[in-house]
Amino acid sequence: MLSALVVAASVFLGEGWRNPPALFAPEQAGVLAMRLWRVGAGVLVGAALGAAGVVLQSVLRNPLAEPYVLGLSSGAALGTALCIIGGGALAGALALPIGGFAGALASLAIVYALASAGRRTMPHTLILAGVVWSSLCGSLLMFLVSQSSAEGLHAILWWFLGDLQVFDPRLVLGGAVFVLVSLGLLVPRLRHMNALMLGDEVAGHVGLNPESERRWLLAIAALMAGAAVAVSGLIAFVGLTVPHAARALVGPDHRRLVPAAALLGAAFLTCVDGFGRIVLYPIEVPVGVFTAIIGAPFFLILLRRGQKRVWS
Amino acid sequence: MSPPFLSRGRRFVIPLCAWLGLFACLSRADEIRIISLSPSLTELICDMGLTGLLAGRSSACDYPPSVVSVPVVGDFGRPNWERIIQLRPTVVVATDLERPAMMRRLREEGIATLLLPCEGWEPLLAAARAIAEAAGQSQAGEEWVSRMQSRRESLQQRVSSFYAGRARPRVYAEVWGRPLTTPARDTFLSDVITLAGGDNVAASLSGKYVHISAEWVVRQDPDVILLAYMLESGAAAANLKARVGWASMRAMRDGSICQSIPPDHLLRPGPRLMDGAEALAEWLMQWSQTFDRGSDDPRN
Repeated sequence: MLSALVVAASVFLGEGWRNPPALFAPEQAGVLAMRLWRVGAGVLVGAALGAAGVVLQSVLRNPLAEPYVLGLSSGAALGTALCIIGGGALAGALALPIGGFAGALASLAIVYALASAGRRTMPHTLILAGVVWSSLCGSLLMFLVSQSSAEGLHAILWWFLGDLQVFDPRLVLGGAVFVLVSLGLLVPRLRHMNALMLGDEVAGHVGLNPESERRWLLAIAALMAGAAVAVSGLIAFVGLTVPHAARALVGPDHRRLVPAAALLGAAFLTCVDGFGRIVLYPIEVPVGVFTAIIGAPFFLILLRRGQKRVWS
Repeated sequence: MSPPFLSRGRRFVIPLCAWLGLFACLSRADEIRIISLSPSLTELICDMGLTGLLAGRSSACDYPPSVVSVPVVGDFGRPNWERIIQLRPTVVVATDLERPAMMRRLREEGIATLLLPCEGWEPLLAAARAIAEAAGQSQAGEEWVSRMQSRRESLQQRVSSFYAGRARPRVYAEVWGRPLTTPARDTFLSDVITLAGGDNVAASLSGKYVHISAEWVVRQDPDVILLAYMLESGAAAANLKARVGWASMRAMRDGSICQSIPPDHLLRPGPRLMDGAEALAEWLMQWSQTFDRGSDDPRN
């Protein structure tokens, strides 16, 4: 409820925020449309990153896990960079996001294959494989960057910082389909996540196959993170901290935690982006720059309050 | 401390250069060999009729076509020091100080270096004079400068008499689409737009090429959108029509999108900028005749 209010309010954040009704004047129709699409993209990306963050933190049983661990981000970055340098940026507006999306999913598949050499896939093996794969992708990326033209460099850098400005509505709609399908797949598994958190043995006792469950959840998280990356580029911090903030607010039960993280992520990202629209207007500042600047203090306060409540 | 293999290399390279230099001095003492590290300066040198003095260029220097036979010393902004030394230049010219250390080394080798940032008409004219002087052909430089100035003045006169009693078209120029990048006040392109009779909407912003908010562009509601993408195919990919909210702009409704001018004529701070300015002036004057709103436009 609160999230919905924040999202609605963030529509008005931007130039002219002191006079919200003016946005509905007929001559501002173009601006309003842009604003709405942009907020929509923010909701989508924020929700996807928040929910994917919770899933990865619980599947990997690691509080530092986030959607970009497991090489998702560097894989996506590599895919996008290949697209930019290979002239894919010119082939069409959708080439870049598709490159990023493919890179993210390919990364996850490779990391999973690397980590599951035996029959069981241990979380820490997954993380380790992800880190190593990230380094490999990072090096390849640096090679590409060092060889690319100034314009290519610029495009890559901008993409790294994350940007919610929507030029092509099809991109957001495509991303929305992926995120909604993933959320739909996720909802029936929320109870399983609670069991998985207690360890594979307990999960086995309640009739789950931890291995296949984990595989499903990872695939869902990758799908969401990949879609988010495709829509907005790399937006840091949201996927890592929003789950913790949500946990501090609603507790560790995933049936409440995942929706809370999705809503909180959506509200947080749209709010930060609205702030970014105002700060240096009309100069554009990528939203990825502000997520940590604004989010970190907010998160630390929540963390302290949460700690007091739970542990003292 | 430099590793031993480097100092060995230096021990080899320096005497070699010394011998080559001595040889060059003895054989053709007055020879001038210019290496240009920037496409705009290469164009300038050739336009002054000094193509014969070019000993090297960057891989981005692709105009005029006659420079293709000149050896390449590396990419624009990434010259190869050894290639430069091998070509025994007497002068190295560059627009940016991308490798300060390298330029210092070049000076230590006794090679004159000219650093000529050309962001504006005056710096461009000064660059022409400086290069011509370094080449010992000050006359060519003066001639080029006066040719340029007279073209500029005649264009200025034509434009100002055309727009007497008429509103100047408000132009939004886009040089890159993601992020939206537009020339603010301190760019050559902004000067070119003004010279061509346009009113750059971003001229109110300080800075050079700035990343601009898409909402701002729509709010400005420019008369004309000028696409000057560095890569020619980039403008086509910009696909303005598909952008959310842009259809509400006056320029989009009227189809006032200028993308016929080769980007090199608008972005390279060299002699062809005058061609770009003239072409843009022509385009804008035609536009003004089609969409004549008189001088009573409330926004002016």
